Amino acid sequence: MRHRSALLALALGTLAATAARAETLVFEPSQKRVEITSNFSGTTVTIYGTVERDAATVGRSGDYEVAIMLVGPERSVVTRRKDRVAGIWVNRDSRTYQAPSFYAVATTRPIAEMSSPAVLKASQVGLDALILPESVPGGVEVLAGTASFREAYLRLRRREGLYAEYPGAVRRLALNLWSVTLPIPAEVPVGDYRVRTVLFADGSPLAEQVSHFEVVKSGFEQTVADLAGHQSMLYGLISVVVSLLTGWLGGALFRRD
Amino acid sequence: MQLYLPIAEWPVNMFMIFGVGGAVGFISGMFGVGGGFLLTPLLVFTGISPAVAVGSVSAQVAASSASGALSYWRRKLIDWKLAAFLLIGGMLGSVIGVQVFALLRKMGQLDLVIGLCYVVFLGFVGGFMTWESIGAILASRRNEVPKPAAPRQHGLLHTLPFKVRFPRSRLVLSAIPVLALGLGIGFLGTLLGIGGGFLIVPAMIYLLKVPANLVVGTSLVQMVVTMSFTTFLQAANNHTVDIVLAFLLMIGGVIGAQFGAQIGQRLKGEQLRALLGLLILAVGIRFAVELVVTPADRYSLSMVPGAGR
Repeated sequence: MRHRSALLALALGTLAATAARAETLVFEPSQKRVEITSNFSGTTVTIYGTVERDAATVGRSGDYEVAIMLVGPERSVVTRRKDRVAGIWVNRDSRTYQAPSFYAVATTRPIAEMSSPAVLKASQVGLDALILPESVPGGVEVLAGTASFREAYLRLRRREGLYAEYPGAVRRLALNLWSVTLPIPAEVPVGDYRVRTVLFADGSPLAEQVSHFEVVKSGFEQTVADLAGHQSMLYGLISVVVSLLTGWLGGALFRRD
Repeated sequence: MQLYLPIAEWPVNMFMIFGVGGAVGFISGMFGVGGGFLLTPLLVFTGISPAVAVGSVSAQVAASSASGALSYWRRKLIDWKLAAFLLIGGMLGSVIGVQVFALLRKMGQLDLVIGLCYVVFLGFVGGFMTWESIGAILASRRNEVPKPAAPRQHGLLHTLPFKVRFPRSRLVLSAIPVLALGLGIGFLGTLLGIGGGFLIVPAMIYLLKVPANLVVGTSLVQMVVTMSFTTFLQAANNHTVDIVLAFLLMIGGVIGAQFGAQIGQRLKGEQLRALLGLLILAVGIRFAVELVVTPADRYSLSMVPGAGR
């Protein structure tokens, strides 16, 4: 029985590696929760993982390659381009992207060497492959994005430190154990993050796994943000009272007359 | 020491914000102005979004004008009736300002409009102050007694209807220019994140002919109320008031203002006006340069307000 299924897996594996699903990925972040406190100045998240192989797994000739992506919550972001109008620089054309607010990808090898561009695009690995739904002013979605805006969007996101590629950062600790430590900058957006792992062998994606962690404001920061977001009238009143009280106190303490 | 700002969602160096507040407070104490026109651009420079900078500075201006108004109140140098008329206009202007602010932000033209307004108003007021005070300094060097401006009792403003008596200022004025002035300052203050002291003080002196000793106290009362109201509206409508940021600025500002006031007392009035005029002019020119010079990067990103949260 076991022998037959192994033969079957071998046959399927050679036909379509992805359909075999013989490898199972077990990759998990070291922490399920990143808390933003008042002295938060960035942190790191470590992802460990292994590849489980059952008896049916085909012995691969090539080594495994791993790509790990941290994908933040989606946000609408407007990318604007300035043009000169009557001597001054004015925002004119724009594109709105529905895009992850954070995207970091780490791989065992340079991304271009992992697979062909088409395969990378299909398995959504790397910034070049990232699908960015784009809409022009007026809200009309365009299928073929504008290259100049897309390029500018990715460049600005990288400069902010919210998009990054770390080729070669995933280390193989043992024959079947990988790990990567990725920096989380202080400006990290809050929300649910996906940890997407894709396993490649010989340039083909074999398996994929998604895990999660969340970035939350905690303590005082959260109280303030919640109040401002959900009870904005009350927050506004408190802000005014704090301002007037501080002003009064300042005036009373440093009385000059 | 890093501090994470909950609304701006931006980490800042606490002592730097403190220092910025203190430096602007020093200048505001020295010249007797709010300093919002310096504070907002400085905050934007540190990476805080212009929208949050404008909203938070309005809270800071409310605080600093409150402590100023208090001292004028103790010395009874406030025309309450005039202040009431100004602030009715001011609150109306603030309501309009918050709406326009939200609309411009959505259109992506907020920075441009803020920039243009800074260039126009700071350039004009700064230029005028510098010109006028340098004239006064030169005149005093030549030992001339500056001629008092001829009182124009029959100007256009006095032909308008709805006359109201302001006994404290010994004025009879039409309500229209007073309300309009309040409205204009309230609108601009909300849009630009400034108290508008550098606009309302000259306007009260030259247009309304309010006695000089009452001008500052009365305008401060108008600013406290209008800016408190603006803070509330910005927080409730646009979610752009970061109270942690504003509080740091207030503390820095209150301390800085004490040192500034001591220096200010040692300088002559026209010297102070010349320095302030040059400072205002410099900020205006900086904004003009930014509008004209080719930007390092023509592209910019901004979040869609209220989306994706």
